[in-house]
Amino acid sequence: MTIAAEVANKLHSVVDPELGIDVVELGLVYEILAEGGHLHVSMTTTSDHCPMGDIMLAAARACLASGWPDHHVSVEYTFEPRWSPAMISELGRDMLGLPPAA
Amino acid sequence: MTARPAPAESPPFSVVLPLLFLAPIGLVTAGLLLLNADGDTLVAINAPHTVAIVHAIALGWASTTIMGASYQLLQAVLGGHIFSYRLARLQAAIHVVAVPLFVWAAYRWDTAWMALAGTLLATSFLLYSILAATALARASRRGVVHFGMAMGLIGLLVAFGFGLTWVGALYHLWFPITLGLLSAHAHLGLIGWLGITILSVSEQLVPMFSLTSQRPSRLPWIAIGLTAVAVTLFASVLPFQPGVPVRVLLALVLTVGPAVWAFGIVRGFRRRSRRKLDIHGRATMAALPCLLLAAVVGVGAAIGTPFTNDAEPARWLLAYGALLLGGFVGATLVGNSLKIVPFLIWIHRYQRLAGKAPVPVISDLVNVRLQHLALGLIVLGSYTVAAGSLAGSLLFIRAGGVIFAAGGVSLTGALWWSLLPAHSTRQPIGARKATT
Repeated sequence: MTIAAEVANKLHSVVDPELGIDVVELGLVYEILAEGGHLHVSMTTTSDHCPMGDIMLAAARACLASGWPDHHVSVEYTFEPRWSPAMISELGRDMLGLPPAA
Repeated sequence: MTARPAPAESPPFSVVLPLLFLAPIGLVTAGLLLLNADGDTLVAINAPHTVAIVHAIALGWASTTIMGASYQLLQAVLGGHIFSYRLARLQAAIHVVAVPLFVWAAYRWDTAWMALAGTLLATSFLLYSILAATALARASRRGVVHFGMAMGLIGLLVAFGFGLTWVGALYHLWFPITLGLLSAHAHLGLIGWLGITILSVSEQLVPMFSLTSQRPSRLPWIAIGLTAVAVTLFASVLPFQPGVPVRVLLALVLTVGPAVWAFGIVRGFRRRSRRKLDIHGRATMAALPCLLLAAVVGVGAAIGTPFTNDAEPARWLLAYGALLLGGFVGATLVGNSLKIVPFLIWIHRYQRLAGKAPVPVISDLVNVRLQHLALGLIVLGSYTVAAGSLAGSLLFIRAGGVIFAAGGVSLTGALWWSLLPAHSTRQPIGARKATT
């Protein structure tokens, strides 16, 4: 398993407390870069000015820092592309009661 | 890659939660006072106990909830810093003393105590306005929510300034308080302050909680702008006691903005990704029929007393007030309170653990049955009071009071429930996946 895949797996434990679905299944994690001793994650929020945004960001940072204590971890927001429900995984869609994506 | 500033921190627990926890006492008080409804209730809208009941709901429950919720929203969502938490706590303390004093004084029609309570209320509203206006001025995120909250704040100041002059009218007989003046004051408070604030806050919360794709739209701007213009027009003309055609026209104009808002909300709901509605979605959906019925009954009240006894001219106005204040405003506030309180408690208890250890989710902090009971009772109470008013049945109005009081108790229970230890320790799906 590559380190990026391990990071993605670890991020499954960062859960949106409002929806009860993790940030990966919600499609909020846009990019994971692992180079040398650096881990960089770009993620977004489900809505503009989401008050959970800073909490999710801090939780992702804490989660990765505990998993890779010898790495420099950076997690930042990006709002391009804008998040849409089409980014939710099949599992997330099922939890929200949405039909499978076409 | 476009970076936007991360959302700001929530204000301290002690600034927001006391207001939200104490607000339902206003609803319980109003419900209990409705048990004392008598023949005067159907005759005059300014009967002392009716004035007390309306202010117990409007100032005690609705305004207190909105103040608490807006301290949270202004800072955490709009990025406008509350410049003094101490001043906010002082404002809350003054408000929660002033409201019961005013309601008690109005019930007894003791103008000296009403004047004292009015002065305290003026202090509370002034402090709130200073805190909210500076936060709005510093807000890093501008948009329709910011615009609507600013309009609502203006509505609050005008409505309150209007009401404050009545201390002089009652005490020194400066001018007679006519039905037109009462109507203007009530609409400035109900629609100019509570209504516009609720419309604008819903534009943020409804898409956020229902996971609706946010597409740029002019509809919310049009809805809030039209409502603000209409209520200004309404309050400017009504004091001059216009005839029925003008009153009906003004009532119709007043329905346009909320109708545009309701259209946008329904359209958004149809696009939502969260198919199973949570308490906020259900409360919003329950509020919409109340708004529609309030519009219909409001036009009836503007006509006069259609299909009812001319000797009891307050019937339609009471029904209109019950549907608008108890039903529409009430249901919306139930939804907002029951989302904000568990969210803040979750932040207080679990934010620091998130990402480091499995933590409960917000749904583990709530009692869904109690939430639905509170919503159901408050909506049912408003329909019962409205039906009783239209039918001229004091029995129904008193029954509505009992239901309102029970709704207020259920709401209090649902809010306090979130303070209990999380009743589930199940791990959310993501946490389970990461540990396997």
